[in-house]
Amino acid sequence: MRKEAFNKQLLNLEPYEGGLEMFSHLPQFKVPVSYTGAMRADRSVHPAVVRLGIKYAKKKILGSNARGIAMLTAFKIVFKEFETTEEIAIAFDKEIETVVQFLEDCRPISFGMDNIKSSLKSEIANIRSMDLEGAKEYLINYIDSTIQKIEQADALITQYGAEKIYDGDVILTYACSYVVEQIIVGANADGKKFRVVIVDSGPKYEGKTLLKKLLPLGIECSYVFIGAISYILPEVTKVLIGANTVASNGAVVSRSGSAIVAMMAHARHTPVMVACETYKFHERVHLDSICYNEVEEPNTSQDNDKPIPSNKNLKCLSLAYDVIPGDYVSVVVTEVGLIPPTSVPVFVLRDLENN
Amino acid sequence: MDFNKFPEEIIMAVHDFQVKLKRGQFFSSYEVTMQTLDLLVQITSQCEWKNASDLNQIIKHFGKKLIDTKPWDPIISNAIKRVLYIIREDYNISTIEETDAGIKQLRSSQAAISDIGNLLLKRHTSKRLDINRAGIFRLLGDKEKDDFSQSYTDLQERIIESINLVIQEVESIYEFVAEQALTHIHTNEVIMTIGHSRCVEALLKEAAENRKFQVIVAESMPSYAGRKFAGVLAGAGIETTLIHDSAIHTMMARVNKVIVGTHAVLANGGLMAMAGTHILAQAAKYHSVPVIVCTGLYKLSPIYPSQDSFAELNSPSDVLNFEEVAGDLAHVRVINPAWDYIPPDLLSLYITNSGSYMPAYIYRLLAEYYHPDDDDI
Repeated sequence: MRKEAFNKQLLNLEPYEGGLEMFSHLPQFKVPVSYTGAMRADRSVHPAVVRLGIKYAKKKILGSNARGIAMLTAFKIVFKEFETTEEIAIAFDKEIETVVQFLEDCRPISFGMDNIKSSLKSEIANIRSMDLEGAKEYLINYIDSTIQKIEQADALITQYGAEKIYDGDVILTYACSYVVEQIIVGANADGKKFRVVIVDSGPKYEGKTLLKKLLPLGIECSYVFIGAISYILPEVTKVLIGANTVASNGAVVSRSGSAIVAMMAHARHTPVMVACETYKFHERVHLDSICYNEVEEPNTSQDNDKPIPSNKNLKCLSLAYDVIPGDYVSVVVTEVGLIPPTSVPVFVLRDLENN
Repeated sequence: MDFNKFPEEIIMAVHDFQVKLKRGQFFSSYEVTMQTLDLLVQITSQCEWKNASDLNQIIKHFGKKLIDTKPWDPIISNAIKRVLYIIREDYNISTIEETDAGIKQLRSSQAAISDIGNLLLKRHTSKRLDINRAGIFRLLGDKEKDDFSQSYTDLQERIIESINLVIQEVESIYEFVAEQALTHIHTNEVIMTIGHSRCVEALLKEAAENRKFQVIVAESMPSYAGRKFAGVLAGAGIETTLIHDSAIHTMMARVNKVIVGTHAVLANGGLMAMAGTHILAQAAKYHSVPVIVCTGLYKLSPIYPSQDSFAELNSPSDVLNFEEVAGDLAHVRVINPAWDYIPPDLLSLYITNSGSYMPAYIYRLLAEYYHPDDDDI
């Protein structure tokens, strides 16, 4: 990891030595025994943020939407209790940086969260002339309206997505995505008769969470591992997956394994729909899954009767994300409608212009 | 042909085999083939038969029973059809030797036929039925469609010897495959594989003795066969990385070659391989990575793929265990397919014990191992 990035860290983290060279550009650290204990002596972070960071690190909050909204809520608490004697704009700017840096140290932030951070920082320009209380109120109102916009976006995506599910459809989804769950629940509430195939894979088995949420609603569900995708795809009419972000070249960053699902569906000419709010669109360009990813702790597996042999020549790799090339994706379902993945830069540029 | 007069031992042995197969005590192509061939040697030596046609019927009778234990597995019928082909070949060789003796008498009167006789003398030492030989039979006036009813004293010995040669061939495939290792694997290459294939293991271990390269192994859920394989390769000094199945597309961007094993090879050059192999082949196609299949030719099957060929499903409890389903997850449909079909256009090369072939050539090899008349089994 670059030296500057290492120096900015708020936590004293030990680098993980057994990692692969091809991922040396990504942060790989050993999980600290105590997050509060690992904090650098000269810095301090609001306890609400520390709690949130630990929840991120322990994977108690999963999914980019949940993480984004949790971060905004934490910011509200921080701003409410914020006291400073410095110039308002600089002080708030530093505080935002500190909060985001701590969360980044606990677990790399998602692109949606990065966009939220940029938009918060650009609002700083508007509070230059205000006093402390006025600035706080302004920022808290802004955060409230952002959370509201995200929730409205989700409602619209649910509506547009549910419209695209017809009677007799067999919808395939991968792992667990909040928006996809909403779309399926919405379509079911509309009275549509369809069934769902959930594709899942280790080590997280997130598909089981989605399964537990859909089965009680009376939705007919099938559950398979990713190795069975070739067998199950002939039954499937549409594929619906969630996204962490959509890059400016139309590539979709999503849970590791989504690229396989999209690729196999594309080979059979089955339409692949990706559901993503526009606040998550990012200006970065992703050509493959190695340039950006999150390396997770290896040896995380539920299976202990099939242990991983230990040998100095053997390394285990556990990646969080996957990049789905734009060609595999038929349509992106957003709150402004259904757009092709190639139209994503329009929104990114529009936001850059506004900011 | 009185099917009730078979020796007790044979009937017990066949029954034993069926039970073991049903219980899954062996299921890899290698084990199934070896056990089937051993059983067929036993049948050939212990049952009473007068001529090749009798033996043919006996083998087909028991063969049907074995195949019915696992109708979706082509490996058992491969072994049986191979033996039926051997019976035909050895019968024809015995016929030639008899005819050959007859030719020697005619030689003095017909010079032209003596040339053919010399040709036959030379050819009968090789164990192959050439198209030319069939033509010569026509010349000599034999009917092409023999009913295999002639009795020969040395036929039983010949057949048992041939089957033992096949058993030896199957045992030695790993050496012959390993011989081709250095042609295909070079320094600093990154190779990806899935599951645990003995052929691939032999190939990689041989290459590792001379060259330094890396291997990425997909752990292949739900069997987790890849984990053991990764350990084996690491133990052989190869730099190995174990990845989850979900990362196959991710890592394919850095892979130079995909090398996989298979359960069976189909007549169109396609594969019946472990579930998950199709993902590797498809991802390799997207990234323009060659896919090499390492296999022994005993896995070559004279059948074409159909929707029903891939109906074998393993226990769903490997995916979601019974405790979970009994609780909150009732009414869920869980599927755990055993095999994947990989079409031949996704494959680049077959490395086998008898050389390297392209998928489009595989159908030609069928003629050397099987006869179309045995397809009715």
